[in-house]
Amino acid sequence: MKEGNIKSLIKKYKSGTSSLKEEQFLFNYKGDTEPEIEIWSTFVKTNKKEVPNDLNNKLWKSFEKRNSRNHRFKIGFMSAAASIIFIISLAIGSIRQNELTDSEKEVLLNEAKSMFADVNQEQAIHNIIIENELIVVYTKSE
Amino acid sequence: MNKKDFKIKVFSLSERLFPMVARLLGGNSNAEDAIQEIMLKLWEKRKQIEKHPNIQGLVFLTARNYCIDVLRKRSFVLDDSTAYFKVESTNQGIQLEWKELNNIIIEILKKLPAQQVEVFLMRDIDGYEFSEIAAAIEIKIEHVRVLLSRARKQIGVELENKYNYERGEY
Repeated sequence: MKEGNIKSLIKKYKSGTSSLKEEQFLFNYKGDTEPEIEIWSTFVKTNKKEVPNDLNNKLWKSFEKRNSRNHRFKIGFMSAAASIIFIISLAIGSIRQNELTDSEKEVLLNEAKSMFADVNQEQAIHNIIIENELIVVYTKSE
Repeated sequence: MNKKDFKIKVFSLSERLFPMVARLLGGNSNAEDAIQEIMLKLWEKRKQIEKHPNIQGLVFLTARNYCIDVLRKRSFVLDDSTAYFKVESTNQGIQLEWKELNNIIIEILKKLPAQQVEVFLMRDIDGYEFSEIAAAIEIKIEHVRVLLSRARKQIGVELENKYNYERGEY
């Protein structure tokens, strides 16, 4: 490349209008350039990270492996959660089954009451005559 | 977005992400692990990604943000984005010479505004297009060019001064 072309390329580079290809050419240029470009080119070449061969495929394989592992974990977690919910609902159901309905309770209560003879006795009627904080005076009729 | 579309539109950018992620996090295996994590995050958001107008930009932005989070957790000083440059040469003589040069450049970069340094490194070291840089740091392409031009000019002046000083012309 002619000296004039290199100078114009450096100008483009410094103004931020050069393409990546032109910049690559400038960094690899072995002829006379400006000293700061030479220093910077060395820095760029030394610090540039080379992309490992076949990186996309390598990463994709392990991505798929991890993804399916995550998927399996999710399925396992969901099945465990579903089993727990099922067991809890069964337990609640069986507890409810053991409970009596109101009519059944009423029958049992009446049965229990019938065992005591005086339960059905008529209640005594109290007629209160005087009532204050200390005493209550009443008459009783049966 | 199904698996095949994800592989073509998103995952295929892994190799493009590698230079930036490796530079920021240091080490190839760190970078590969980080890219895996980035891709898993993107996969989880695949429904939103499908509707995004700039998928490539979103991938770059996600990758940069992920690296910044990792660096924050490692308690790195964020504006010192050059602190983890490594001396790669194995030759002792070159290594010493390069170490000095490396330090000079790092000192120059430290004097520049953080955004200028970031744009400059993404372009010259990582080799990214203006559109990729603009998407990653959420600025306009014109702004990228301006920042890059300012950084290159400033670094040029500083290196020239250093060069002249060492030759006794300063």
